[in-house]
Amino acid sequence: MALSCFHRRTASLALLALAAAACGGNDTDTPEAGATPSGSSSAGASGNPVKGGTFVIGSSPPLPAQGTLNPAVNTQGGMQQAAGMLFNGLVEIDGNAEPVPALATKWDIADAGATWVFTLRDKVKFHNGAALTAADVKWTYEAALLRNHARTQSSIGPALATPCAAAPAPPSCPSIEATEASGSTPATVTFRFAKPYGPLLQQLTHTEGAILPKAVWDGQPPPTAAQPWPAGQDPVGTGPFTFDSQNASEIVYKRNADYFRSPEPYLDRVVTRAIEPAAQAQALTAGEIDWLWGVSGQDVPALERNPDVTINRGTQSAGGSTNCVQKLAFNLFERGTPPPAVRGGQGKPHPVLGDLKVRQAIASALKTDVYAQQVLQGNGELATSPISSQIEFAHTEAPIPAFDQEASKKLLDQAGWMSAGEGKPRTRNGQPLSFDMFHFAGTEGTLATKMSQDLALVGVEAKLQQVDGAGKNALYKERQFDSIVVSNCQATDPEIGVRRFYATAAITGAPFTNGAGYSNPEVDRLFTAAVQEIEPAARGKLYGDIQKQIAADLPYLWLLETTSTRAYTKDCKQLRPYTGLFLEAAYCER
Amino acid sequence: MAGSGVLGFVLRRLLSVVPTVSAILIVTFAMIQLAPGDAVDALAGAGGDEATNDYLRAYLQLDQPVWRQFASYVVNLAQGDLGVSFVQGGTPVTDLILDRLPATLLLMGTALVLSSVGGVLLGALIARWPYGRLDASVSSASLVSDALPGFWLAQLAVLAFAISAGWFPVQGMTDAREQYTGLAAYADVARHLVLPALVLATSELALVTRVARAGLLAERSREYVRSARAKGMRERRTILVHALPNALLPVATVVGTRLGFLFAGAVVIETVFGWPGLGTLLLTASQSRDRPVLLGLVLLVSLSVVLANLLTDLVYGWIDPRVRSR
Repeated sequence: MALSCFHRRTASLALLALAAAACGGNDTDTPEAGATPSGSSSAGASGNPVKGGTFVIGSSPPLPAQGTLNPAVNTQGGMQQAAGMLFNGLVEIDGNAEPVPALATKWDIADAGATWVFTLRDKVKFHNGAALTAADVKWTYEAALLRNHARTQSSIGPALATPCAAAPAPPSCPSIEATEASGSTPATVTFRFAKPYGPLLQQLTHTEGAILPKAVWDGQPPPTAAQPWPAGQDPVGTGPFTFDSQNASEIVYKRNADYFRSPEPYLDRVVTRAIEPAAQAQALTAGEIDWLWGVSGQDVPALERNPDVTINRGTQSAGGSTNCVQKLAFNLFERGTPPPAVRGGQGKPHPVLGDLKVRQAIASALKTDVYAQQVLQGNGELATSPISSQIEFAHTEAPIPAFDQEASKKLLDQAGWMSAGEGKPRTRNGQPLSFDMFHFAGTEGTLATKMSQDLALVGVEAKLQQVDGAGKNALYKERQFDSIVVSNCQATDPEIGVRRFYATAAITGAPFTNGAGYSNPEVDRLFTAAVQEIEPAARGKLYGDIQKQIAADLPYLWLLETTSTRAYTKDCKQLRPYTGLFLEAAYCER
Repeated sequence: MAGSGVLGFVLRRLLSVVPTVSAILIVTFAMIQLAPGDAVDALAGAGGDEATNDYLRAYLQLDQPVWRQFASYVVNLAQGDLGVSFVQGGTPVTDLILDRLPATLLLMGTALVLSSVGGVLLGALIARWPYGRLDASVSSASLVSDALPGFWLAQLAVLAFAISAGWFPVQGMTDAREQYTGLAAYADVARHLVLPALVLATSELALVTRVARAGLLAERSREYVRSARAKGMRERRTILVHALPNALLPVATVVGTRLGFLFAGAVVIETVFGWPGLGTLLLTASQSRDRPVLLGLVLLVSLSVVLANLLTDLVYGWIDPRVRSR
């Protein structure tokens, strides 16, 4: 571990792990507020922090529901922002997407990356006054995270040396070991993996691995998404703010005076207000709120002219919603084929979309270069690779077919779909070239409309079907769709947000998994090899090969990379939108 | 005799609530079942593997046959138990509703009073000089405001009175930055209440104005009004004391039967203004297929409408003694 502590843009994980281990040893405690990746800037510079005051965040409704503020079992929208007030993970991510110490002060790697030992910070207190122990960490993983957390249970879970017990059996993960502090020896938690496991440090943040106080569940069943806290129990974490109250339109947090990074936080109160998107910019202009996580393109010019408001753009945002790519997922198999049958290779190909030529024709028919402006109104750009361009392993040479209407028509002719005349869908054996396209309201709806208009010009009929969240999840589960628009937030590593869309094992019917039903043994092998690869260049090569292959197979169309445009009161400083702990060191001069 | 008649009437009407509300519950239950996806699908937006989702479905008893789920809901309901929310961390439905009810009652109550009193006064005003310029302008204005969608009017009101003029806040029921107590807290809520209550009252106001105007015009030509005038009573007193009470009959009907519509309007207005009432709860519950909460809300609203109708009939009898004897 002779690597020096260094920074570079989107450093590679395995290397990062080693480097950060060395950094961790020096206990470089606080993430640098000024250091941020390109495309994302820290909002405000360090100065002499002013203590006190209330900071008001405007958030699109719905807020996380009452009684659900437990990011270890529930990853719904809005949860990450709440999580950043109340919780910490073992490790956090700084502005360069690099791991920095949080509840763990350092980490040591053994067995070439198969064993990770985390040293816990001393004297950390939960909001209820209880001290953080190694048992809390172990229990949080075995009872909550590795059972209920969508990303963590599907990434860390299968990689452990011995599988954890599944619900409803009592929580148990033999591969996670807790050693409590004794004398001057601090407490440690050890993760043992079957093979070297590179991406671990990216998966221990407060959004991916919030640590819960075990004692709260003594004599109670472990938390689930339906019952995140025992009845009547307020959320309790170690984070910079404590839970104060919640009603239908706001969540109120108070300063945690016992925070381990004392004197931080500086703010006395934080209020998250549910405000309809249409009224958000108005509320900021009127000075009623201080921060907006997302500003629609049409509101940007007015806010840019406002001298009291600063605009900040970035793709990295509060954990789970980082590096999002809007995709069109093709169902490669007949509608309604159950996921296990697709996974087992027993499904029949989709009569239209099962044909690669048709998918290529669809890709060529889309005039995607205008989508970023017309659909996202500038809040994003064209996707150029299956992996987000903000992740180091993006491989832009992967050939996503460009707009070429003639090529598209030719491909459809070759596939046997013949023109039935102007304005009519093509036909083959009397069947029209027509399929359903499901989407949410809002930008997904605009995107789907643009696609269906472009497709009509080559004789492909995409029938638009608007659904809501529960409806989309149900379609995904039963595979009752032809195509579906999906926003895929890839976080900071392909292992977190990319693999689950392509691996055969991820054809589960769960939301944000392999909805296409794509299965390629070579791609599966490459993903597994990439996780176990320690050398960043070699890992990048593996992800490059993966992207070349999936771009050729086209189980999805990668369309747009969305950018978050945030706006905030100029008086407020040291905001860190790249992490959900974005108010940890914030203060306002007013 | 008259008293027991009223009592019998009230009892009969209350008994008729049971089949009405049962039918509404059955239809609502069926509609929630027909919507694609269930509460676990909504929760699964969060993720979790198949085993966890199966576990959740069993935990919420969504794996039971539908008739059994309905039966157990009815059994619990009969014991006064509305159940717990599927997605709001197991919070009892009664708590969720009671938490938000005061805000909605405040908004709806204010709008109801504003629109009823304002509408009657406006109606009386223009009925004094019917078919004149004032009548024409108020009548057309009320037609327009009745036709305007609430959410659009709300946005306009925010732009005009909150952003441009700066008289009222844009959103919320309180100032998020301050923690007022005592009188200042009431003043804070009142300041936030003005715009949403006015917007919500507007379309109701239009209706009440038109009904009051029509009622007064009809009464004005009656003989008792002419007699009052003949004995030298002043016109204002004639209208207020003699004609108005009779003209109020149809107004009472309108106000009573519009309660359900007022709630529907409140759902939209609450969403636009970020008012922490039942509207947002209804919206979230339907998006997340939170059946117990949806059924609880439907039950509350249908009961209120039925009871409001009953109350209207009683008020009717109080205003017009002739109704009582029928």
